[in-house]
This record gives sequence, structure tokens and C-alpha cells, in this order.
Amino acid sequence: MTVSRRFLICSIVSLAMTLTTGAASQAESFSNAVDQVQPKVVKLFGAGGLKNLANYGTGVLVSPDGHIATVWNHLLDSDVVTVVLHDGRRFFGKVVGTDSKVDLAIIKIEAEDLPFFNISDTAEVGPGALILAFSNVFKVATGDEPVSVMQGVVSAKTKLAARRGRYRASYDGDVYLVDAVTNNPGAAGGVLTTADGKLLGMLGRELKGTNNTWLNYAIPFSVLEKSINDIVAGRFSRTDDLLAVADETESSGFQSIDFGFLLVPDVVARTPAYVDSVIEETEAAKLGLQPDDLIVFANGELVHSIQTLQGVFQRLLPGDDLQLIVRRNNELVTFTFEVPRKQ
Amino acid sequence: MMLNSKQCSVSRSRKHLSALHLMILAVLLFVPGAVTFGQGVAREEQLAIQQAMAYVNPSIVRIETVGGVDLVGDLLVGTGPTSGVVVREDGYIITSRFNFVADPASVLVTTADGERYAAEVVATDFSKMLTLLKIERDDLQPLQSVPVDDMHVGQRAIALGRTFDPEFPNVSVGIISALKRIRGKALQTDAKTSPVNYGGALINLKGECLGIIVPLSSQRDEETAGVELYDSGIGFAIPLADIERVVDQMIDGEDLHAGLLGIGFEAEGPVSGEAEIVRVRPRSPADSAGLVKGDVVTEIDGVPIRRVNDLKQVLGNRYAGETVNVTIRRADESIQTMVTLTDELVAYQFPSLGILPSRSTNRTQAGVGLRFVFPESSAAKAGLQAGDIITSFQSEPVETTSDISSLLSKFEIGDTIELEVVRDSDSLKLPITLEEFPDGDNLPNIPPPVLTAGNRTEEIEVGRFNQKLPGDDRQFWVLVPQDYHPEQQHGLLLWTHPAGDTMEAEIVRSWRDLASERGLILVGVRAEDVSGFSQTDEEYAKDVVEWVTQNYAIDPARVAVMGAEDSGPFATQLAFKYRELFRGLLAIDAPLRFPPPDSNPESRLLIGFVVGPESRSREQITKSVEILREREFPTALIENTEPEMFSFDVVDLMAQWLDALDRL
Repeated sequence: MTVSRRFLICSIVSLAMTLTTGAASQAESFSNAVDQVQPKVVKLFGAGGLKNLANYGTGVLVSPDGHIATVWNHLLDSDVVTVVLHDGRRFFGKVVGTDSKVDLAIIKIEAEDLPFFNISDTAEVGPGALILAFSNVFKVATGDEPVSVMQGVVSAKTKLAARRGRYRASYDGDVYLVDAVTNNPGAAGGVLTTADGKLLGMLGRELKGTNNTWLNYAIPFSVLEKSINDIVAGRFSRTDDLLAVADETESSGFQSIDFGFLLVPDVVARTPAYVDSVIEETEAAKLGLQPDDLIVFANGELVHSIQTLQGVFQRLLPGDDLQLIVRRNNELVTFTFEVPRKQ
Repeated sequence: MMLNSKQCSVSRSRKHLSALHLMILAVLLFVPGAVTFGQGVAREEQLAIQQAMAYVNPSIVRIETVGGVDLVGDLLVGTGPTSGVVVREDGYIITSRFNFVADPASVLVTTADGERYAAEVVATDFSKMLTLLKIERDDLQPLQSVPVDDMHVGQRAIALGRTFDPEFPNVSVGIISALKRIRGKALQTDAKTSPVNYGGALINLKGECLGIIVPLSSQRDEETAGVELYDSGIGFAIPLADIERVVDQMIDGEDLHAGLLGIGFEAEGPVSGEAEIVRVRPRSPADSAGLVKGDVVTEIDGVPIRRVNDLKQVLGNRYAGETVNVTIRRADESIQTMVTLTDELVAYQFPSLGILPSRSTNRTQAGVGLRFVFPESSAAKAGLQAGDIITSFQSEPVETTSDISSLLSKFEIGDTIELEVVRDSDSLKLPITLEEFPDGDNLPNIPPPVLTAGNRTEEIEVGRFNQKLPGDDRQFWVLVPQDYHPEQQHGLLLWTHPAGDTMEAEIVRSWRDLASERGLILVGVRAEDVSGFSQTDEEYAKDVVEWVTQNYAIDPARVAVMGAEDSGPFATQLAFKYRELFRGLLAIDAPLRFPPPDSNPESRLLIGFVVGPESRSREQITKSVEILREREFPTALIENTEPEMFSFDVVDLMAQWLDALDRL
């Protein structure tokens, strides 16, 4: 143990020491990657242009015959989308399929022998990995100009917990978060690659995270791969209705009283979930829940307020376990309830 | 190689390098494709970054809060997790104070090994915006700090938080952009900092901690200041080495505050000249140490002070309770003195007589006439009456109201002074004990002033009209009483409307008669943007007020600004920024959004909050009144009993309050 630790520190230090030389080779390694990637990224122009809805965006070629993957958003809400290739060639594309679950749309243009990404050949990286991001952010590139490139590192690989305005974003799967400010108007549909140009993910929309800050994220191509392949092969072409994307969870209607306790009245925006009273001879009483216990986690979810707790209750099904962690003085106490059958 | 072996021996002193820690390193290093691109520096640097991350990983914790408000100032505070850094093995964690601005009911800490703990807030550093937490754990791994002298601009800086993924820290990579920023408190980095890593660690490639990431602003001091800079490439961290200096004090539960001297300077900008003192606050540390106006600070603790900025750099890093060695130059003499810094300067308390001076200009007798004596006031108790004329104050002859106010500022509440008064050609000497300045709510029914008749030329416009500033296209409106003439000084009320509605017709309708009765000119500026007033409108609003004061006879003691609802902060900002211009601030259904400046005798500011019967901000407004009164701002709480914003009764109360702005 001691030996390996010492080795680790020494190796970190020696690595740090070697970093003072050879900046030129770094630039070279990026420019090779940039040369490979840029011809496969296209500029899109479509609906929008009002207020803060951009009427431009980015897409990535995923077949030699003109299939372009992009983020499914308002931009595509027009009959045709103008596609401009890196060499300035202009095409009119049509949406051939979408998958709202992963925020994906595929556009097809009539062309052949185009440079493209093989989407089954992607890389997987962890936090700290150097990345490049390609997109037509803020419509800076026009005509035959290639899209803009940014450099950064992967901040985290995690589940997307975000919202669009006041609404939760529809996609909540894996994403790469990066430390470059990539997700700005027009960037959606661009690509995230490793520093040597290997495909990582597709840049997403402009979304705010739970900290109320803008997120810079990309959905990994491994998540998109199946839908892209299906749409390109013509096996899948559900055209989602923009408005039909709604919260699909059915309400089971459980409340705290079903478990034998009552919460304090929910009066302010973030009322903490304090137990107000425990009803005698109920499960809560048997387990030893007490008034003034503060519920801080419910089934692993942090309970910010009574509203969050109610959200957890809504998703319960009879027979599930409900695990509550409460703060009592300075201790955390765990209770596990069985969700009862409702009459 | 010397450095390497030294580093290794340092690391031996660490006790806990858990198996998990090594496992995470392994995962980071052997993620498929992590090392995919060719040879070269980039790849090695990526490796070094990932190793440094893995090395410090056990010391970065996740912090979650439960409950609390969702709006602090105008900033919507997220509910997402934030980060903290272990500073002591036995469960002490330092983090950014930003994480607690919402005043949460409970704080939870998740350590790198996934264990959750209820945390206790031990102490807060209000100067550097840090909070120390304690959890029940005694085998944590604190981070090693980088000595401040070993930090250099251009070095790699890696910002870590534990916000997104409980297993790995989230990371952003940059360099150290500057040292000794924000009055010497912080280092600056271009790594992205935001609520996702506030409270987290800024580390170097060796896995040593440079500092704790916090939001800071060079312009503002409140707890959310600097958040607007998030992800901008301008981020700040408080050096851990500086924190270690005070961490024992914080463990003992001691809150830390910025250390204050109590001196003021002419210009405080970055290009200001030498530190010549123009103000010494009464009863401040500087006052007790004998510093006086005109002294020039030349050295503090051996650091030469060439300009005001140098002084701020040195003092910014000092806490209240610390003693500094100040060298000043007085005439040609150099004087050294020890000064113990304080956390709070005693605010200036206005002494009051309880009178309203008369405003008529055509007097036969020299002195200041009394228009009204407040019942129960010290003036009333001393026997002063309306119609009396004050001719001298402590044997000093007085001609104008401002003579009296500048003489008053030399005395304190409780002092007894002697006034010489002329009443019906008799001369009386009346002793009077100065009392606390009235807050201004429940003003007695003040009779309207007697407005003298006079002439005005045709060119002077009266009534309601639109006007533009020379060279500007934007219109503002003015409402001048019909019987206005330049021999009678008027009060001035600037109206800043809430977003999207100028409320012009309503204001003119509800104020016209009362403004005319009380001798008030109303001016309304319009926001450049429909979404409301912004900082760019401040200068314009000031220019509009100056236009009116140049074109009409305005009493400088009765210039006020009024805002309602979301224009309240803008009106407040104007009143706080242009202290020499505004003597009154009326905020209708709008609580205070940022801390007030110091109350000082040279620029007296009276404040009135108007609260309606069903106001949702009543609680915050009451709190605002308390805060301002604590700071010795005479602050009134005016109750509007009607649902309309400008009911007759409330306008009458506001007009009276404005009429009494020049009270002494």
C-alpha cells in the first residue's frame, strides 16, 4: 500500500514536470483531429428567428448518402431545412425520423459520397479527458467556412438533470458535461470528440441545471446509436408531436397519511419536510418515526421540500419499499416502509 | 529529482489513502479509450490532470441543503448539490458561503466514499465568504495546501466539485490568471467556476490545493455577488494557505469579519493617488488611534502604501480583531501607531431638534424661521413654537437651514445646546436636549406649507409636459404645480416606474393636487427597455434630476426618488449611488435588495417603505426597515390601507413625508 502510494505521487510529479515542453506537438495533434472532423459537420438553417429562438443550428453526417443527425428542436419545424456543407454546397433536407426520448432528429439530403462519422466507432472517456467541440455556435460560420472548434475537458459523465425554463427536460439519461461553454444558440446538433477526433457525443440544447446555471452537455453517441441506425435503415420513423411530450407517470396518489404520519403544512415555496404528527398504531408509529423528524431523503432522492417528497409518493406502487432517511437532532435515521395496497 | 523525492516524503505523512481512492484512480486511467490520441504533451497532461483528480478525490465532498428560501436578492438560488473540501481529519469541511445563502433548514454532507452525514455549521468567514462545517467522522483526508509564495500566474489550475456524479469529482481545467485579487483575498482562475463547484477545490497538477472556489465580485460585497460571472473565465478561489491561518479560530466557533479602520478617502478608484484621509469615523479604530483628517497613510505592517488601492490590498486580507501597525505622515512628521481593526463601524446617529424650518425667502428678520414644531419633540418640550426665528445656535449666528444642520452634526444625542430665538420681537434663550432623529412614520398632521405668491416669466413651463435632455431622444415627463414661481423653492420627486408600465396617468391623477399643495415637482423617467430599468439608466436618471434642478427652483434638502415593486431596487440604487443628490427614497411594496451604504452626516438619506394591505413582501419590508434602522438610516414604514397603490390617503402620507424631508 505504501509503495503504491509513493509511486503514485512520484508519477504525478514527474508527469507535471514533463509538461513544460512541446506545446507545438499539442497544436499539431488538435489540428489533425480538426481536419478530420470538420467536413462531417454541417450548418443548418430552418424555422425560428423570433425572440431568442435561433433559426440556425448544427448537424453531423452519419451516412455517406446524406443522413444528418441533429437535436430535434424548433429549427426543424418547417417544411425544409437548409443544409450547408463544409465546402459551401447547399442542400434542402427533410426530416425523415425523430426520437423524442433522446432528443434526436435525422435529416436527409440528396447527395452521395459524403464524408461521414461511423457512429458505431465511438470513444468513452472519463472526467478530465481533453475534448474538442464542433458546432456553428452563434452562426459564426457561413458559406464554405467550417464550423467553430472549442477545446476543454470532460467535467463529468452523469445523468442529465436539467430543465428548460420551468419545465423538466425530456431526456434524463447519460451525458458528458464539459468545461468549455459549448451549448449556446446554434450549437445543438454539433459534435463532441476526443482530442484526436474520436466521436463522443452530440451537443445538446441550452438547458439549465438544478443549480440554475447553464449546462454544457452532449449526449453520447452510444445512447443515440440504435435510434440513428433504425431511422437510417428505415425501420423507425415515428414523428413525435412536439406538444405530446408530457409527464407520463401515472399518479398513484399516495400521501404521508397512508404511512401513518402527517407533515407540517406546506406554506412556503420550500417548506422543509418536517413530520408534524405520527398517528398511533400505524406503521410509522411502529417503526418509531417521531414528530419534528426532518425527512431528508426518500428512496435515495434528496427531499428539498414537501413538494419533492410528494413527487416521490406519487411514483410509489403498492408493494414497493419506501425508504425514508430523517434527520433527528444531528443524526440520520433510516426507516423502511412497505407501500400498502390502497383501498 | 530533488523535488520528486521531497514530494514523496511529504506524502508519507498522509494517513489515509483508501482502497476506494486507488480504485477510482484505476477507473480513471483505464476507461476504454481514455488515452486514445497520439503521443505528446496533451496526452501526458490529461493523465496528470486525471491523476491529480483521483489523488484529491477523497477530500472533496458533496453538500446538499434542505429547505430555505428560493430567492436571495434577485437571484433564483438553485437547489442542486454543491461541494466542500476536507480541512481536518476529524470531520471539518470548508465550503463557500454561497451554498447557504438560502438559509437552509438542514445541511447534509456526502463524503467521497458515499456515506451521508448531517452537518453542523460551525463558523462563517464573512470577509472571504467561507463556511466551516463539521460532520461526525474522524478519518477524513485533508488536502495539502500550496504556500501562497509558490503560486504563479500561468500555472495549471484544476477546479473540482462533487455536484453531478457522486463517484467522481466534476472538473474544469484552466490556469491561475492572477494573484491577490479582490482586495488581496483571492486568486483568479480561468477554469470555469459556478454553483457546480463553489466550495470545491482548485488544485494544481500535484494534487495540492491552491484554494477554495467562491463567487466574489470586485464591485459588490453581498453573499451572491460574483455569481453573475459564472463560467465566464473569471473565477476566484480563496488560498487554502490563508484559510489554514484562521481555521483553528473557526473550529472554536468564531465568525470572522473583514477588519475595518474607519477612514475614508477622496477617490477610491484604481488610479487614485496617495492615501490621504478625508474622513475619520467617530468612535472608529482610526479615531481611537488618533488619526485625523489630512493624515496620509504611508505604510501598514511594513508594506509601503503608495495609493489608496495598496491600502485596500493590505487590509482586505485582515480580519476584525487583528492589530496592524499603521504609519502615517502628518505635515512633515512620520507617526507610527497600532490600530486594532473592528468588524463594525458605529453608524452616525443624527441628532434632532424636532422642527420643520420655514421656507419663505422674503424674511425681514435674519435667522431660520420655524414652520412647525413636532409635538412631544425636544423642541416642543423646550418651548419652541411655530413662527419663532432661530438666530443663533450655541452662540453661533445662523442664517440658513444648512447652517443649523452642519452645527447639529457636531453634537450627539443627549447633548444640551442653547438656541437663541426671536419671538414677536422678543429675544429668548432656550436650552434644548438633542434627541434621536424620528424615523418618520406616524408623522403628526403637518399643515401644508404657506406658499407665497410670486411672479414667473412666460418661458417657464408649468403643468404636465414632456421633455428631452439636450442631445438625447428619450422623453421624460414633468409635473409642475400651476402656481409655481422661482421665488418659492420646491421639492422634487423622481418616479421610476415598474417594468412594463409607466403608470404615468395614474401618478399624475393621484398626485396632482397634493403635489401642488405641498410644493412638489414630479418627474417621471421611462426605462430604455420594456423589461425595466437597468444599470445603464442610472446616469440618465441622474441627468434628468439635474435638468430639473437647473431649470426650476429646487430645495436640495427635498430631492427624493420613488420606485414601486420591481423598480424598487433601481430607485434604491439611485439613492445609494448619488448620495449628494437624493435626500429621500420611497419604496412602494419593494423590500431592500442590497445592503445600504454608511449613514453619514454629509449626505443624509431618509427612507420610507410603503406597504399595502395584501403585500406579499410585508415580512421582507419589515425586515428591511429593521436593517436600515440598525444602520441609523431614519426609516419610515408607511401603511397603505387601500388596495390601490396610490390611494388618496397614502399619497397624502407620502406627500407629508416628502414635505418633512428637511426636518431638523
